[in-house]
Amino acid sequence: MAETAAPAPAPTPSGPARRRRRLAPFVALPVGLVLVGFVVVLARGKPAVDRIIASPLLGKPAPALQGTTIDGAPFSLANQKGTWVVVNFFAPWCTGCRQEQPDLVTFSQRHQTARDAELVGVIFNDTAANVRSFRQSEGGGWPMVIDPSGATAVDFGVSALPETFVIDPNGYVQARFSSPVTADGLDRVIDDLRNGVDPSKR
Amino acid sequence: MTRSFLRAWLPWATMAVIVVTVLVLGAGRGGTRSNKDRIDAIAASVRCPECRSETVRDSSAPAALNLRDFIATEVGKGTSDADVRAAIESRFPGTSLVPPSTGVGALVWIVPIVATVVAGGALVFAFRRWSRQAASTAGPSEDDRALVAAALEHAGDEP
Amino acid sequence: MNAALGIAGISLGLGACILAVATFALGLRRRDPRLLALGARYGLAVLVGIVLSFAAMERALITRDFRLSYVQKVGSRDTPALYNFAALWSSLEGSILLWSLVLSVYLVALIRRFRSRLGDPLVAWALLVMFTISAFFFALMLGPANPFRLASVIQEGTGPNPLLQNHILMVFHPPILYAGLVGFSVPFSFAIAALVTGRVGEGWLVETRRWTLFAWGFLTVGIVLGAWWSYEVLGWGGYWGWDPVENAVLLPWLTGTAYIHSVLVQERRGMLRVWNLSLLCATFSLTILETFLTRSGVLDSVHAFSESSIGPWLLSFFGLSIAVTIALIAWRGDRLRSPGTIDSPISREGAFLVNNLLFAAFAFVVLLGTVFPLVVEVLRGDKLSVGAPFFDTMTVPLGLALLTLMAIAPVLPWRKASGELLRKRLLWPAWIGVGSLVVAALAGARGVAPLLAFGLGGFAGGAAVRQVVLATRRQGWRGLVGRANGGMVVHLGVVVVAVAIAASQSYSRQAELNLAPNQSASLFGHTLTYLGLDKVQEKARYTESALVRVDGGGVFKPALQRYKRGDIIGTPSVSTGLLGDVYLSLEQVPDTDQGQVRLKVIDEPMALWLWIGGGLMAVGTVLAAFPGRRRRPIDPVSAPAEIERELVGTHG
Repeated sequence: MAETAAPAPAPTPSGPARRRRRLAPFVALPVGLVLVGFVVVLARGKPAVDRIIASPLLGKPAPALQGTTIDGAPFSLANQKGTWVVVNFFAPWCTGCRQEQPDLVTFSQRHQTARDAELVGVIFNDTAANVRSFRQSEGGGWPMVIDPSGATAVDFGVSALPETFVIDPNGYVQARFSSPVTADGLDRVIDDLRNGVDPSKR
Repeated sequence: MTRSFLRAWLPWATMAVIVVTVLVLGAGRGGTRSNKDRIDAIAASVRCPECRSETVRDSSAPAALNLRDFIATEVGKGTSDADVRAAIESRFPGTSLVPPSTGVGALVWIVPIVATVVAGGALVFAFRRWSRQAASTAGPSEDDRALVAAALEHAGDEP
Repeated sequence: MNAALGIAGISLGLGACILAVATFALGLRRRDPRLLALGARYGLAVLVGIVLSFAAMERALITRDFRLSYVQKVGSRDTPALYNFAALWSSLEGSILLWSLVLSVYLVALIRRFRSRLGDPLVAWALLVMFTISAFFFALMLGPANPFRLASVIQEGTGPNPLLQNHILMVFHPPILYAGLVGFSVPFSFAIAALVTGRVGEGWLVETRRWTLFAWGFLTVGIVLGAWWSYEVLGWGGYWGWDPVENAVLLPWLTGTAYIHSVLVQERRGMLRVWNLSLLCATFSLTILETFLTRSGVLDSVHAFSESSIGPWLLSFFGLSIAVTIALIAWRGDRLRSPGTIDSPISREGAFLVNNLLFAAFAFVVLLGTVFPLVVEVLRGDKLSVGAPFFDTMTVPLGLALLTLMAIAPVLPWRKASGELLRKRLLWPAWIGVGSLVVAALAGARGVAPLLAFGLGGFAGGAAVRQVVLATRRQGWRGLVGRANGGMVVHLGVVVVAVAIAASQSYSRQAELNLAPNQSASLFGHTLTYLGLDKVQEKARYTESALVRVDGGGVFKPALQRYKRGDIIGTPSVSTGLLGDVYLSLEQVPDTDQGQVRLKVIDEPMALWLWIGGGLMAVGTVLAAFPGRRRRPIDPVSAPAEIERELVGTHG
């Protein structure tokens, strides 16, 4: 077995002496620092689902959300005080919304008996008829509010889909998602908020 | 110019002439880029402002449909690709998939080129250093010559 | 029952890994070869554990055991058997299960291969690293990525994403891709072992050469299959979108290719040892980065699995592998530096160095473009996007430079070449290149970049063919096997792929057609006749296809499929020809049977050659793995050179 020392059989020429300089640490250090920075950046990146972002509405009372649902029933956010409300802005043409649909179904089923969290949808830039035919194949029974002038979307500051807001039992906006959500993600955030933990610091 | 020099380089010179001619004549927009292709290409380079993570070309969002119409009109009018993209970018900032050539976005273009040039320069420098080393250690050193001379002196001695 | 079996298997695997690591650590510390041999025995237990879990999951899928949360996610009663089997790896937790299985197979194969050298500390360190990597992935499955979690509510599953169950390639692409990605763990383990023990200049490099080659081959095939699948299934007529997940897989391939070339310099001249070790470690780290990027969702992508809790684990492992690499190189690097020099840049060594420079630049461009939006968002909060236009602009010159290098390098001798030698050897490949350029121009190709690609492709192809012809002339059929000759076949494959990419990217055209039943149209040189609609109701989906006859020959059926779970998926149909494909997509189904159908037709020149080129690369890899003719020591490998008279002649 060869020894652990690096072999150096060639005699050093008697010209200018070739010292084996300690080069490796000087190369490794800057490379290492760059890579550490890279890892830190990746760590701070926001995930593709359950992505929480800032909103000027955080901690403030939620904007008024009232209107008629696609089933013709009236809906008003103010009447929901006392439970957590998840407001999901939706349109059938949005692939992210279609992606989160099964999770929203799961979420609404989970809280159906306990009624501790309500799910309500708001149509963004599409017709009630389209949403009805979407629901025929994809399911979903929670109230879906029609927003004919888009005023609700503007009030909430929504310009792109999908977006979801979490509103506490007192009617204050506590979280904003700018990506598709998962049932587990929503539950995790609501639990955090109940316990006074800031969900965006996870 | 000697005969052998010509013989060696003539085929290469001929090839160079052919290549340059073909490239010059053949340059210009490859393929038939119809208006439809241009519209698609521009639409594919803009992110849909209403539906995240989809391009205007792929999305069925109302904003995307409007933008596709806008692009189609502009291309029909003869506006250049860059101008169309700029118009969209000014209406919906941050949607262009082509990083800008100014500001922070320019870094993504500059850094790789600079890094490659620097690395290439380092390689050239390393080659020079190596060939200098090879040249300076070519031939036996004084000590080695002395060794051989001493051995030759005793070459005739008893083994 | 399935869940219990599954968890038991994973626990067995994890336990065995931990015990093995402990045994190896102890054995290395005490320099006790018996302990080292004992540590290796645990490998079999790891394999048994993972096979048990894999079988348990398949059983759960096949019996539609909806008590498992994962089966609810990806299984359903209506999914056909083959896709149900493949559904195991269609989502996050199952993909980790598959990864662990492949890793365990490599582990056991490695132990078997080196069973006579288990007492050697270098082998022991390598196995220790392999067991540590396995332990990590098994731990993932007991933690954030548990495939055997029980569902809180038992309901029928809806099946995998429909895009993942309408093409047979779904069954092959992930396992082959993983065989490639995971395969790089083996040379990485040996690289770490070499750094730790300080022993670099030995046979382990040659012994693991074939493992690295196979890993690289699987990765290449995996990537090509992925591109083919995209092409056949996604409907936009493209095969590569510079999507972050695609880029993430390309990165280890680029550094792996650089390694395959520069390791030849190490074998021949003993140089670049530390650089090669760094390349190997970088390649492995990039495979971990790939798993992170694909599964953490920090980059917007069509392909990404969407889970957020596994991200930190994978990122930490990535950080760990980089930290260990950097620390080891900083500690050992100088001792391992080789004293050799490169005499002349115009030599094969010089060409390999330039090759490495170009591949490193390529990898850097891809990495920077992929993570740049994230970096900018984290540092400044701006939203910026980097897409295909950036990547295309930056990588085309690099690709052309690599083609040029591929043309020149095979004829370069080691150590030094003269201009005269180059001129002589490159003459007829160069004529082939010029010929290809002229033929392409005459065939109507326009645009400097594609024309250059065709010309340089011919040049590089000619150089590769020249080598193979010379070798077969000298050695008969043996001229086709062995590293150098197999490598030339791989180069040919790359040339074919490059030409196909140039053709299909620059000259593809698309248009939309509205056709009534039995109406024909002439488009892009093809005749398309719409014959009518075909409607099929299956268990899980309802398919409406438009029957289109292309050029009076075959009938193709682009379709729209409506799945029970609600998605509507377009399935394109491709008429493949030698010179190009006619790619058909059904855009809109008419309301009545007599109504007009709207088709999107894309003309894709040379698309078939992408897959043929990929196949050639695979064949070349297999050929290269064959043992070549043992070179006679007196065969000249360098170019003839003048011997200095002075050295020889001072005395009688």
